[in-house]
Amino acid sequence: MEKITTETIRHTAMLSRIELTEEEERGMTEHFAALLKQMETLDSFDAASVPATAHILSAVNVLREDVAGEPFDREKLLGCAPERDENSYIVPRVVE
Amino acid sequence: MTALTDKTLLEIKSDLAAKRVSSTEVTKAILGQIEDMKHLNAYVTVCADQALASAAEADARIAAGEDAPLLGVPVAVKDNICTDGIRTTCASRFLENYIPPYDAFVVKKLKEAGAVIVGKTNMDEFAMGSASDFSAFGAVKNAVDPTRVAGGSSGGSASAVASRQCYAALGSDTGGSIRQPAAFNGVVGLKPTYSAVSRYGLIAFASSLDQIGPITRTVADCKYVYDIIKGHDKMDSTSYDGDLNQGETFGTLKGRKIGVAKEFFPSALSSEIKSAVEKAIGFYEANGAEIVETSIQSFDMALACYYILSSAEASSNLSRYDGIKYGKRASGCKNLRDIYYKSRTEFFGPEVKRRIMLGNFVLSSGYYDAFYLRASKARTLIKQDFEDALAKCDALICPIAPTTAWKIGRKVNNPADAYLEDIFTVPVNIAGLPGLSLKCGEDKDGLPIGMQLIGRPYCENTLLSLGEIFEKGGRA
Repeated sequence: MEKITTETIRHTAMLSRIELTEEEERGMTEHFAALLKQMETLDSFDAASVPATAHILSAVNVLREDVAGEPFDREKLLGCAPERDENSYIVPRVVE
Repeated sequence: MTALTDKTLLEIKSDLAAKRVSSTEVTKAILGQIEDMKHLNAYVTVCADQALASAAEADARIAAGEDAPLLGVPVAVKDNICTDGIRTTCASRFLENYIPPYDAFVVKKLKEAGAVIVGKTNMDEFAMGSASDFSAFGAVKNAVDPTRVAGGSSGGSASAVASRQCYAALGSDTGGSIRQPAAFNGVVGLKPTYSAVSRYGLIAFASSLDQIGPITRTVADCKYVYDIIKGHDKMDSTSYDGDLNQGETFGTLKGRKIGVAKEFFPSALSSEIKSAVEKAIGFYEANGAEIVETSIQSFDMALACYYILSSAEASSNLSRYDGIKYGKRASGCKNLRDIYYKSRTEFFGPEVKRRIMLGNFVLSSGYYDAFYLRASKARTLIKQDFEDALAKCDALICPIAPTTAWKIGRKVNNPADAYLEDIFTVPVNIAGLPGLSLKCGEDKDGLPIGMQLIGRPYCENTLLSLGEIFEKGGRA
């Protein structure tokens, strides 16, 4: 099994949009190493001959009639936002 | 005379229907018990006013001669299941102030059945944990011994049911989160077959594994609540539209076959747990069931398979927490990047961060084949092994967890070891099967030991019949 480096942890934190302190990075590196050790149990079978299961159900393309329903209350939805201005969500400027 | 709060759900339902007691009296008694048991920290939110209003409404309906399956009965709901107008936090700082604009399917079902929702139960943040100590609102305490964990992640629901703070509670189970806390608190928990209960309104952790189910004091109560919440829902495309009653209801064990897989009794298993489950097997055999030896050869792979798949799905599901549409936003954000990074860094707890990180790692370029794809293939083998084993018997029996409830604070700093606690429960989610958890004994400290009955898809009734027979005669 490949060794987990601080670089790998930093890259994964970037993918996760999470900032880690140096101490957290060390903890996460140890945690990953312990987990990857446990994951070696998966090396015990020949993967080439086994199909993958993404989902236990056999159902595919579950379709229904396109019927107009009751929409959510706009005020209730906007009321969940941390910052809003009347009928809009507020975010900082996106295009610099 | 039995105290109101000590009655089972079916007993209180019968008292309410016969007008021997009013829903207002019962709800007040439960709210009083919640206050007395506050130290267990089983609830994140108690909705006393709404509950008393629902109780008054139920009383009026009963007075008018109406009936409904849960009319006037106080129940609780895990805090990752959306309740319209009632704060739903997932035990996370991120959703501390989140008030859902809609009811989950199961909450609608409870309300249609006339239930009085008394509160939202505490849990591990985003249902990630096995002790309910990763809650932003403090650890849940075990109802049998408050110095010990309640199990998790539905620890609040299990502790609340065991300590008479409600007659039934809903939990969710991604890798054992209903069954293990039920066992730790000595109550009954059912993880239904994947797709038997709609996940609409359940805040997603791992969508191919998550399932909602009941936690109750008796098997009969469990069946009663399960029958109310199950059923097809067009809002959940994975919801099953076929026959949900493929099992059998029976009162004797003659002709029944119970499978025992040797992998479920590893040499490291505590002798007290091994002996308690063996006694239960002895009960079934002595009362007419045939014990069938079987095997789940892929059992050793289940834990790794589970942590890869569940974390991968979690990393995707939790990417929605961006600090924009709902949930909290960190202060002082100058740009969009700041909103994402600062909000997620500040408001996710340590275990949630670990799972998101692990999920993104196993899905990332260069590691996908070695981890995610391989785990998906292991899932095929695990599912197949259970199908083969269950073709030879009505149900499999095994322990729920390798230990009883541990002292609060233990293992929190050793997450990889903590994951081993889930070894007997995760295979059931991987295979999408139903699992029933019930008490089969006690250890030397008087802590409950749980056993698990695992059945074929949509055969919950078979498990519940086996559970009920054991409950009536098997517990020493």
